[in-house]
Amino acid sequence: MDYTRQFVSFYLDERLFGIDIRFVNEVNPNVKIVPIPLASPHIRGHVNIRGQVVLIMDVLLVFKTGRVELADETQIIILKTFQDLARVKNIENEIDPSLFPDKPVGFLADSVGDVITVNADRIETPTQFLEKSYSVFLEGMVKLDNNLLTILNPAKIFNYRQEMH
Amino acid sequence: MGDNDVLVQEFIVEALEHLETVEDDILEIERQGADTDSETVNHLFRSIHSIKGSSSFINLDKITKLSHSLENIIGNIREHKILPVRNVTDTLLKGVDKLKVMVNDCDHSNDIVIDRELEALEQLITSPLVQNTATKMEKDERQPKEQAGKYRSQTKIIQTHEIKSVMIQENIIPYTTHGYYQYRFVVDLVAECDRRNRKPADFFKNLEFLGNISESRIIISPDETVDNFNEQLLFNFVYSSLIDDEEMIIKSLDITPVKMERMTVGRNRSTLPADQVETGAPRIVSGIEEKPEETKVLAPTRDRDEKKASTAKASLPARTEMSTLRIPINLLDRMMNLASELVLVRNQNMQAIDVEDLNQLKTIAKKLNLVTSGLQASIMQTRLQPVDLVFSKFTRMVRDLCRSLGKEAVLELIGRDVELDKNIIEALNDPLMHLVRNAVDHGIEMPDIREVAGKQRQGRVVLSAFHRAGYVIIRVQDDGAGMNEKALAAAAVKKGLLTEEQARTLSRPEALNLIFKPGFTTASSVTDISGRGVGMDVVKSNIQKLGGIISITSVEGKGTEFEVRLPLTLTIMQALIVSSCDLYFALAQYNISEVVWLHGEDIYNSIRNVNGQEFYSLRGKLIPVFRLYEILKIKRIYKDIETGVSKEDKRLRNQDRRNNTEEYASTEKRHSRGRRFSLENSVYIIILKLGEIRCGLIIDDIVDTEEIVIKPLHEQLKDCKAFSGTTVLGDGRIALILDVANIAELGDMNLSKIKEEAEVARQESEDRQMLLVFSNEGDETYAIPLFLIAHIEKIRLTDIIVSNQKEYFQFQKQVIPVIRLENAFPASRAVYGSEGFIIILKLQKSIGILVSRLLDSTEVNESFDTSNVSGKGVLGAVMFNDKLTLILDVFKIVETLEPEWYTTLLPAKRGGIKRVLLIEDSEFYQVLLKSYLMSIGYSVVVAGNGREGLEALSKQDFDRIISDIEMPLMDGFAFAKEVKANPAWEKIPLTAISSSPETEEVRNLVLESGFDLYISKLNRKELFESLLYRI
Repeated sequence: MDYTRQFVSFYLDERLFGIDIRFVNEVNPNVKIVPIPLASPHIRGHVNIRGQVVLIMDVLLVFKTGRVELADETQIIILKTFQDLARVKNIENEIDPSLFPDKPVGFLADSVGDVITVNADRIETPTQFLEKSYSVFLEGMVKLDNNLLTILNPAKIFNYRQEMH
Repeated sequence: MGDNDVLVQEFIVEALEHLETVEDDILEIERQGADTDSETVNHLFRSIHSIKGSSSFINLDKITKLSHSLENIIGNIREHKILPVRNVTDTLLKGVDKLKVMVNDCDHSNDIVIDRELEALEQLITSPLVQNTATKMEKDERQPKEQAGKYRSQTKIIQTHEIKSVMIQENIIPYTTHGYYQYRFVVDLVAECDRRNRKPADFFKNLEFLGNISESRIIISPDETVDNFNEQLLFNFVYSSLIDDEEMIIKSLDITPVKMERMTVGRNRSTLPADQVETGAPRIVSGIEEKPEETKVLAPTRDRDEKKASTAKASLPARTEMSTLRIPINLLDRMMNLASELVLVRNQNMQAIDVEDLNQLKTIAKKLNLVTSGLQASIMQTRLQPVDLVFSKFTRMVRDLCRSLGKEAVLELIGRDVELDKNIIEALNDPLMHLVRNAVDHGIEMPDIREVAGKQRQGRVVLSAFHRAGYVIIRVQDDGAGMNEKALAAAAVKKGLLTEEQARTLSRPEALNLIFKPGFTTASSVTDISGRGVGMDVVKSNIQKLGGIISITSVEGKGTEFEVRLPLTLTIMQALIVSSCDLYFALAQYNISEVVWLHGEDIYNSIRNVNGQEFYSLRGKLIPVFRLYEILKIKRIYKDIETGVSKEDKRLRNQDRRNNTEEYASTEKRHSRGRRFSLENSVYIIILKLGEIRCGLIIDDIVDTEEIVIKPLHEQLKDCKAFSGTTVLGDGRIALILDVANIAELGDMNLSKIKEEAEVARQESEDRQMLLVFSNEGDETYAIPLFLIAHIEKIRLTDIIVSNQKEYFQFQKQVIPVIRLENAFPASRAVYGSEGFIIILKLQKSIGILVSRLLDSTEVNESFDTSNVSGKGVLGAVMFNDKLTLILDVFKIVETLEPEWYTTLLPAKRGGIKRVLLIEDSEFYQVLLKSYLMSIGYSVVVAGNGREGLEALSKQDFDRIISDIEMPLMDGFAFAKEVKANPAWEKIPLTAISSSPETEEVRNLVLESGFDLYISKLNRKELFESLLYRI
C-alpha cells in the first residue's frame, strides 16, 4: 500500500469531504438549476454545461442530514461518466466503471478546497459507530493534522434510490 | 485467441449478416421446391461458404464443421441431387439456428456440441426419402412416427455426473427468438398412455403437432426395478409452442401434467430444477431431441438484446457494449463534403467578423443554415435502417406457425426498403411479431373453413410499410375471419371490463378497441371468441412509447387490418415548447391536434368541473382537461403585484378560487380582481391526441416551436414517468420532454369514469344555453336563445320602412320584415328611442325583432321553469339579475303576427296535420323544437329518452319520429334498432338530431343504426330547414 491517492476536497455543512480525483471531471460554479418535477427529493435538477444536460444531486439529501443551500460559493462537482472512466488506466482494478452512469451527473458542494494527497495506507474504513444510512456511502476516512477527511464512494451515491430507506 | 480479437469481431459482424439472408434463402428454396432457382441456391451456398472460410481462418473449428456440413447439403441441392422438401429445409434451418448461437458466442463455440445437427445433415445425404428420384411424400404423416421410432432406439443409460448442466440453452433460444413460448412439463407417461388408452407414439405425435420438444429427460428414482417400472414413468421436457396460454396448451395436448411451469425468456438459464439433477441417482435419458451435453450458458448478447427490445424507451445506448452500424460509403462522402463546407463557412465567418462586414455576415448565416441542415439530414440518415431487418424475420415465423396450427398462409412483404430510425426498428420487433402472429393464429381460418367460406385455402397476411405525410405507416392485414363485435363485447363483459349496459351501446370502433384493454387477454378469450388479444395492450403501449399510434379496422368474414403510424426518428423532433410555472417543457408536435387560447372570463366560463374532473367544450365535444402543474405537482408561485414577493399559490383551480374567496379575502381585498387577472390572464389548452382519445393539457404559455434534439433521461430519473427525455433549447435553457401517454395516465385518466363524467357534463352543457337578454324599457325583460340569432344590427328607427301597414328593414340587400313585441304581447309597454336594435332571426326566412336596449348575454345553467308561464309566445322564464325574464317562443310569435308566412310553406299543413314523436333529453331542445315543429304544422308528443319513446310508440301512431342520439337510459342508436326491428314501426321515417359535430364517421354510424336522416344540431340554419323540408 505504498502509493498515494489524491482527493478533491470540499465542504458540506462545514464538514470536510473528499472524492478521488480520478472520478472527477470538472468543477463548475453554481449555475441555474432547473428543477425536475416528480423526481426524488435528492435530485435537485438539471444544469446545462456546454450543451450537456447534467443531473445534479444533493449528497446531504442522500445522507438525510439536511440540504445544500444555494449560495454564491456553491460549486458543482461533475463526475466522470462510465465512458470517461473506462479510459482511465487500470481503474477497473479499484472500481467497476459500469457502476457509473452513462450521462453526466454532478453534486452540490458548499465550497471546494484543495486537492489533498494522502498515502493509501492512511485511509481507514469508516468506523462502525456511524449510522448505517450514512456510512454505506463512504469509502473511508483519513485523519489529517487538524481535520477529518471523509471520502465518498460515488458509485454508492449514484445508485441511491429513495426506496432504500 | 487474444491476438485476433479484431478478426473475431469482424467475423461475427460478417457472419451475422450472412445468416440474416441465409434463412430467407432457405425458405425461398423450400417454396420453389423442385424447380429451385439456381441463383438463390448459389447465393445461399456462397453465404455459408464464406462463413466456413473465415471461421476456419480463425480456428473456430466447430463453426467450420457445421457450415461445411450445411454447405454439403446445399451443394447437393444445387446439383439437384437432393430435393428441398420440408424435412431437408427443416434440418437446414435447425443447423442455421445452431450456427447463429455459435457465432453469437464465438469464444465458446468450440465447446458446443453439434453432433446431432451433423448427424441429421449426414442422414439427409443417405436418406432415400429426399433423393431426387423419390416421389413426393406425405411428410406430415410420416415424420412424427419416424421420430417416435427414433426415440425408442436411441434411448440409453448414462451416469448423472455426465449430465451436470443438463438443460441446453442453445436448444431453447432459437425458439424464443422466433416467437415461441416455452413451458416445462413433467408428465407421467404411464398414466398418459394407460389411462387414456393411447399408444406412446400417439402421445408424442400429439406433442409434435402443436410445438416442439426442445429438451427432455426421464426421471427414475434409484430404487426402481424393472418390476415396478411400469407404475410411473416421469417424463420431463421443455416444450416450445406458439401458444401463449397454459390452460390452452394442456387442453390441446390432452395431457394431465404432474408439474407445469412457464419459462420466461432471459431467466431460463437453468431450466430443469437443480434438485433433480443433483440427487446422484442414475437416470435414463431419452434422446428424442438432444443428448445431454455440457455447455456454457448462452451468449450474453442475445439475452440483453431481448430485454432491450422489449423495454427500449426512447434511445438508451447500450451501456457496456458498443453497437455498430453499417453506413454506405457515399453517405459518408456526402457528410465529409458537408463537413468541409462547414469549415469553409467558419473561415469566411471569421474573415467577415474581422472586417465587420454585416452584409457578408448575413450571407454567411444563410449558408450556415444550409450546411448545418444538410449535415443534420445526412447524419440522421445514417441512423435509418430498412424495415426489412424486422420484416424478414417473420417469414419463418409464419411458416412455423402455420405448420403447428395446421393452417395455410403466406406472408407478403411490401415496402421492405422503407427506412426507419435504428432505435424504432429494434423496438418494433416485439409489437409486430405479436400482430403477425395474431393474424395467423386468430385471423386466418383453418383451410377447410376458408374453402367453405369461398376463399382460397391459403390465407394471406400482408405486412407493408410506406411513407405518408411525414410518417411511416406499417400495416398488418389478413384476409381471415375478422372480428365479431358482439363476441368482443360479450368477452369484455365476462371479464368485468364492461357492464351489460355499456356493452349494448358499444359502437363498432369501440368494440374493436376493446382488444387493447389490459386484462382483455386471458385464456378464455382466446378460445371463446375469434380471440385477438395476445398482449395487445402491451403492443399498444410499446408503440405509444415510440411516439406511434395503432389503429384497427376489421370486417367480419373479410379480415382485419392493424395500422401503426410511426415518426421517422426518435432523436430529433418537431416540438412545441410550453411553459408552466416558469419551467419549460417540450411536447412532440405529432401528439398535438390543436391549441386553444382562453383569456379573461373565458378561462372561468368554458372550463367546467364535474366531480373534480375538468372538461373543456371543444366545438360541442367535451374533452377532459388536466393542468400540467397539478399533474407534475409543481407549487404555483405568484408574484404579489404590490410587494413583488413571490408566494405559493395554494388555490389550484379557478373553481376553488371562486368558492374559497373568503379564505383569501383578507389579503386580497385591496386588489383582488386586478391580481387575479394578472395571475392568470390567459391560458392555453393543448389538445392532445392519443389514438382515439383526446384530452387537453392546460399550460401557462407557449414559448416557441422548435426542432429539438432529444437527449435520453438519466438513469436516476427512470421513475419519472412523465418525461421521455430532455433537450437543450436554442437559448441554452433545459426543457423536459413530456411523455404524453404517461401524462394522461398521471392525470388519472380513468377512461370509463371520464366517459361518465363527460356524459354528465354534456347534459349539463346542453341544458346550459346562452340567452340574449334585452328589454324595451318596459317592465319586462325578454330573452331569446342566442342559438336562433343570426345577426344583431344597430339602427336608427327612421331606417325602418313602412309599407302596406307593415314594417321592413333593409339588411345586406335583403328586405326583412320587422316585428314589434308589443304587438305580440298587448299588455306590455315599449319605449323606443331614436336608435334601437334589430335582432335578425334566421328561421325559414329572415325576420327582425325591434328591440330598444340590449342588456346582456347570459347562460341559463338549470333547466328553466316552463310550468308557471303559460303565456302565448313564451317558452319559459328565468331569473336574470333578480328580474323575471321571459324566454320568447319566437316561432309562436311569428306565427301569430305573420300567419300567412307559414301557410304557403308548410308541407305538414298541406297534407293535413301530422303527428311527430320527438325524443330529446334536453329540456331546452324539447321546448324549442316542439314549438318549432308545431309552428310548421305538426302535432308533437315529447319523450325524454329512447325508452319513453318506445312507450309512446306503443300507445299511439306517429307519422314521423325525430330522435336525439345521446340520451340517458336508452340512446338513439338502441332506440333506432328497436324501432326498425318492429314491423309495425319500421316504415316510420326516422330522423336523428345530434349535437355531435357532423363528421362522416358519425353520420355513417347513425345511418347504420337505422336512421333515415341525420341532422346536426350545431348548424342552426340547417336544423330548421331540414326539419321543415326534409323530414
